[in-house]
Amino acid sequence: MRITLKLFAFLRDEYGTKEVQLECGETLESLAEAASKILGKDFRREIFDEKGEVRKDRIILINGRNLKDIKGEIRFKDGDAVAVFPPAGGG
Amino acid sequence: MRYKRQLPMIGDRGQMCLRNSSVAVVGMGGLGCVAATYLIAAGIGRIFIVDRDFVNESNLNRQFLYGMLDIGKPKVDVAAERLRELNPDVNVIPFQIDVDENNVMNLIAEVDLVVDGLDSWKSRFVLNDACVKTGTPYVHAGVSGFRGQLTVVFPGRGPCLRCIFKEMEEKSLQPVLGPVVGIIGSLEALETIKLITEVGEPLIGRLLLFDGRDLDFEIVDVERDPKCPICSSI
Ligand SMILES: [Zn+2]
Repeated sequence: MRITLKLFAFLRDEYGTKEVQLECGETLESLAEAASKILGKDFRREIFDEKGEVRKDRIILINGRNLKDIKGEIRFKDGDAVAVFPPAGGG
Repeated sequence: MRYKRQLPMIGDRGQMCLRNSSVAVVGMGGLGCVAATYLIAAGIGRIFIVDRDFVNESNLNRQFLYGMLDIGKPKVDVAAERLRELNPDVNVIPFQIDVDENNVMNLIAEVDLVVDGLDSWKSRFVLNDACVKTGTPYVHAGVSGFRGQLTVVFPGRGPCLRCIFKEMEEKSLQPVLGPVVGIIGSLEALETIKLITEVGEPLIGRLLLFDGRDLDFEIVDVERDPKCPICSSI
């Protein structure tokens, strides 16, 4: 299925794009794999830390829902949108 | 006369809404200085300005309510003095405290809306939780380097800060450029005025991500977490 992946801030510099269309399966794992194929192997590391947990310094929204508590349950549907950005915490 | 140029947008009724409202700006750093200044100039009735800190020279690249002669003084005292000069009709109430679980409810009980000028996620979540509990709208913003983000937490009508950000790690002393807090702090004031006067479409259920390097403003939808420990029951 087709998923839109949007990147923000320094991720745009790192991967040279704001948005990519991915062809992937239902799971988060399959999205990470499809994204790494297009953007490079390192992209996995934008989502997961060494322990395989979702990184604490990235916000990943799937159709507007934060991924953190639902990563195991995710079943993507055609047309879903994923956004990845580093939160800004200063004032 | 003071409000003549804004009346075409908000009308006498909107101006009266501002006059009758009470707002807290929590954190009087870069964002807080900007948001508080525009709210006071617009004729908010009562404004609580909250910050525990003292003016430091490294604040002066962006916190324009303070000058060299204010270094070492409590931020809220200096800010209150400047803001009262700007608009003597507004009741400016300084609070030199760190917002925490013990004092937040007393503060929220006094206001109709809260504006985020903080640089700590722990304090933001304290505010968020209290605002959700009391049904108080909360205008959230954060900045880092050239970037900023903004959303309106309107309890019951969209996600709260916990739905969007979950748990966050603190990062101390983020780099900040004056114009970036100028933009994002102004947008906080704008959202506050819109909410109070009920003009326009507030940024509820939407998150603005701003990048100053290429002047990119993008809005992404944000949804409620049906299992959110804070807002799922309302
Ligand atoms: Zn929530």
